[in-house]
Amino acid sequence: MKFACFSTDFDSLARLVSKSNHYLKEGDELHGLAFRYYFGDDIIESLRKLKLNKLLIVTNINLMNYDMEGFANALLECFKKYKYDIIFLGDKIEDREIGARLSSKIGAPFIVGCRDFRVEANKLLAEKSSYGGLLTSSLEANLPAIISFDELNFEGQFSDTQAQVEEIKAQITHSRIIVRDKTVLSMRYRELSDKNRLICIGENIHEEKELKDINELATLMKAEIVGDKTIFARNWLKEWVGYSNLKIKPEVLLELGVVGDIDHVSGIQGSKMIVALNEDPDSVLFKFCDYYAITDIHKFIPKLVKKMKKIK
Amino acid sequence: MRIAVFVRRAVESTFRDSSNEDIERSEKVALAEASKMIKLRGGDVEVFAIGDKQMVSLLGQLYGATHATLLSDDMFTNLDVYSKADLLISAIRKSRPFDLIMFGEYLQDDPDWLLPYLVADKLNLPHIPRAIRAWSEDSRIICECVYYESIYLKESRVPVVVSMLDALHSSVAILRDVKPKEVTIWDSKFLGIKEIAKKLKVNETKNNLSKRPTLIEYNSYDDLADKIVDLIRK
Repeated sequence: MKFACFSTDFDSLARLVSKSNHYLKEGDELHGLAFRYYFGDDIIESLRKLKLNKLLIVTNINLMNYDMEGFANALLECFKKYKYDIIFLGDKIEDREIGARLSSKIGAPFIVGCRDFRVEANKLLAEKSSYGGLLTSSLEANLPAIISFDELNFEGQFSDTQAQVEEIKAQITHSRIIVRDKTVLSMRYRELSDKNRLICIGENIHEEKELKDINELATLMKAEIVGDKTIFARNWLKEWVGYSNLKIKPEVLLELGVVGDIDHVSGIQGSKMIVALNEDPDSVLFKFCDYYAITDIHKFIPKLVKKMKKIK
Repeated sequence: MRIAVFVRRAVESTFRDSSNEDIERSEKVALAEASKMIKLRGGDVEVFAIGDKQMVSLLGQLYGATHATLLSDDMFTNLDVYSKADLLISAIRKSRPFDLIMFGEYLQDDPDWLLPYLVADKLNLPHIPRAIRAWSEDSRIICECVYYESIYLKESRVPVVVSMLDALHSSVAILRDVKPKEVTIWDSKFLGIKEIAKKLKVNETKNNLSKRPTLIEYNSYDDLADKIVDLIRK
């Protein structure tokens, strides 16, 4: 069987190659796919050291910056030449976007969130997770197929020998989408470094001054602070907790004033213990946590801070 | 300006019973943005949904839509995302051409997440995913899109497909039109569909929601603080 790996990110591609090698049987072939102008020559040289039979380099100046359609068209050229049975894609948002478009172009199903798979009688049998693991499904599809794994918990493995390189020329036109501007969001609060204990703040934390107490609580708990989409929308934090953005798996997650939606609850599914406090009894999160209390958090947080101080 | 917005029943009800039948939040954002655009530029917003006839009342009350079309037929039940895309494309082609086709951006591991990508590719249209705001300027659509810690300002000429994230609008209220609008129902016969082929066969689906949340009862804030501290320190 013929397999191929692609990611827009070097680390993700290295981990993906390791994971893909895990599924290879004798006689199978694994190719890496990369774009010269996007990665640059130094990264391309590093990619040659991954455990690959061949590295296909698509050389086209229009592939210098991320363009979902152009990247999918370039992968299509590689597919046309080698007729891969399975194309593995990385776990970056962009990788999956390219996979979605490629899936339509080659008429192959795209399994996102694949946990495991096997091939029997030219059929793909896959286990897929949805909503951060809240649902799992057993799927069956014809080959070829495209797969993006649920988790890439593999270290990148490098080989002593260098993979053979083949240059692919592809006709890729200018992107139909113009990027006018890019703004890197600035941090206005605490850096996420310790992932064992997290405090997630949400909609019902109304005023920025309330963060003073929460900040103190975080220090006492040795926890870091993250937020939901409402906090992102207020520009208090540069990202939000949710499957669509930042997935978290702390030992303890204290949710303060978070109502929750399917994105948020999917993004926290790996947490060991979730304690949710909110005054809204209809909070969606109350249905997906371990412990919850209906309380006026504005009055309660200072009391909790006081209690934590007393213990210290 | 002609805008199509695809909606579906919110997925949250899959896990827990919900009496409030609703569409996805990200689709409400798409509808709100579409509605703003036609208020400024004129035109109409047509909502499409695939489902049973029970969706008629929900579609009829959707705020921001000028008309709704329900694709409903026994043949349209339990479709995979590929056949949903084919069906939606048939409906779009049956309508007058659209300048903008909008979707909600579902979670990437949601079985329907691919829908806007498939529709865009099959109609050979550019696609702007992960938009948090969208507006029109002349014959272009401009979007702010979020990827990790960056916001990109992207533009495309119409016609274009845009999928909206609800990152800036997580408190989108359930807005209902006071006067329900007419909902047109299109079936397989009307759309000229004789057979629907699926690419993915789902053999089994398991709900892994095993957590049974425990309500913490308390008689004072001090009592609650004691209980929370115990849990945190466990």
